[in-house]
Amino acid sequence: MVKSILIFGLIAVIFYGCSSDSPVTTENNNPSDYTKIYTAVSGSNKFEVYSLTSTDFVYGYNDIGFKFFLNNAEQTSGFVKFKSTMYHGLGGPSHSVPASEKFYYDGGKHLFTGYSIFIMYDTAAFWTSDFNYNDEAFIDSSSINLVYSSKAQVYAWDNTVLEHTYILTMIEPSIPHVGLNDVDLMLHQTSNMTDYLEVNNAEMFIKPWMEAMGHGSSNNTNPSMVSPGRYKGSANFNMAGEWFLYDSIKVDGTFITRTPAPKFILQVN
Amino acid sequence: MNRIITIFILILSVQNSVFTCNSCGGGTGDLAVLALDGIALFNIGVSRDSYTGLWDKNGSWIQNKYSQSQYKIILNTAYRLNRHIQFAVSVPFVYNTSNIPGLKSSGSGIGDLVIGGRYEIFHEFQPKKSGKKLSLDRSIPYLALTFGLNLPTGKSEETAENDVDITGKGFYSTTLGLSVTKSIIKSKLQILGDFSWQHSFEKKYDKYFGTAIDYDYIKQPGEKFNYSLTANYIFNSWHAVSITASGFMQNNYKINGTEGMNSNERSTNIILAYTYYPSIPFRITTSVKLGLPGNDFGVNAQGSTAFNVSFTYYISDIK
Repeated sequence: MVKSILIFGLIAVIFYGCSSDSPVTTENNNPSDYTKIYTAVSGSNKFEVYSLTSTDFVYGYNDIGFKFFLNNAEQTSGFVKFKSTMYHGLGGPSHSVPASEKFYYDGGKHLFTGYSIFIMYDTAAFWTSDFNYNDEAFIDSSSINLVYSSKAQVYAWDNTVLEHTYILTMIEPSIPHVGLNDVDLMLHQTSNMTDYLEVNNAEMFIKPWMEAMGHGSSNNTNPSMVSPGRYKGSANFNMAGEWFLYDSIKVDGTFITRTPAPKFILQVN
Repeated sequence: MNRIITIFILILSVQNSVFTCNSCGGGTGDLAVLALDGIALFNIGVSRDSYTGLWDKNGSWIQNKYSQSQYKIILNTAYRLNRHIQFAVSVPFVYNTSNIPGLKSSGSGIGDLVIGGRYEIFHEFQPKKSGKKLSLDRSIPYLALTFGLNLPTGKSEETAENDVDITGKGFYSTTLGLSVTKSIIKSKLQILGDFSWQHSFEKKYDKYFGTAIDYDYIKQPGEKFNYSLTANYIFNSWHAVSITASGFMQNNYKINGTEGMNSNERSTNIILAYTYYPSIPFRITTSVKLGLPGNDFGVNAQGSTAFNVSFTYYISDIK
């Protein structure tokens, strides 16, 4: 009996000692809020992809982050480049999508963070992505899967005068509700559907409109630029139902949008 | 008995506000109506209209998550010119409330002024000669041609700065209709029907919610058909009740000459009313209007529940 008590006491002391003097880890390198959605491995290079938006790559705006491991050692400096290409069937046309030019390491999130906007969804198409760490380590043409999201809103149009295609992406409101909603938009331009530029210093004029009822709303705030290519404002949907959110856009004093202006269709609850 | 007959006549002047417009000012259905023996009446009504939801373009009912109400004080007066013609005026004061977060919570102002009248073609129970005898004609119903004009004196989307400040429609509209009353049981039960066609004139907006606009914006609501069917039952000299089924159907609106897709509107309501007659020239009416929350009872329209109390003083020419 005495022997058993001594053994139990010894084990207790050992466990107590371990927990107080020797923490297993003091640094949590797991990014909160993000979900790991993809891993690309090639040789000694490994890219892990995390998303704040969904559990997959999804149609529309994706808030994503990367971890890069070189010989299983996580790298936390430099940058990551990520470029996705959509192939419209074998031998068909292909194009890229807007994305952060470089994903820089965010120590708070333990990720190289940025965005990518998958501007099309087509069940017959397939996607590949190129990963690049610091222009030193690469994984090319890694096949990825894209999932459709009914919340995503992407609007593209050509401006033949300026010879650009513009891409307007709605990030918010993703779940529109009655009352004031944050409006968060990104505007890109491209001339070749391969390279995309964030459009800065645009002037945006939004108009929420309830088509079926024939009225708009008050207290809307036109989005203004908060970071490269990104604009934030607010829209008032004063009753439930289907609303259109029109956005007329000026760049350098000239409207780049057509008439009628690009519109997003929102089901407000 | 005389009191009942007088009240029966007064019933003709009930024509309670049918609340034809939930969101803005008054409608020509708000006008008061005089009975044949009436010279004039004065009426003040107070109502609270709480929005319970809306029907979308497919007729699906969407419950309102917020508390949004419209209170109205409506002053009515009617004046009889002769046995065929009478005129009426209605002036509403509107107070809106809303608890939608982040938005202004109340607004008020004068609503749309409504003027109108009616040409009464037939009256019920009028004397007729059959041979040398004089008797009451029990076959001819009351029939009147009604007309009205809605003046945009309230604040509309053009002039209001917030949704909750809207107290009027913003455009002129006219109504032309028929009003029929037939007694089923004299001095006890009568059926009333009101049908009108409403035409709204186009409105060119220079501003939208108080902000100047630099594009063309000319809006015209669609043609509208209003209806109400009422059954009145008089218990005795002091009490009467009525039940009304009312509603409207409206065609697509036009903006800059182009019809809004799937923008036709309709809704149906039930109104229950009770009237108390404390004395012959005076009456108090309370009513509740119930929207019918459920799919397919409306399209592109708001549903609401409204409570109303009104006080009427009636000047008769009975000497």
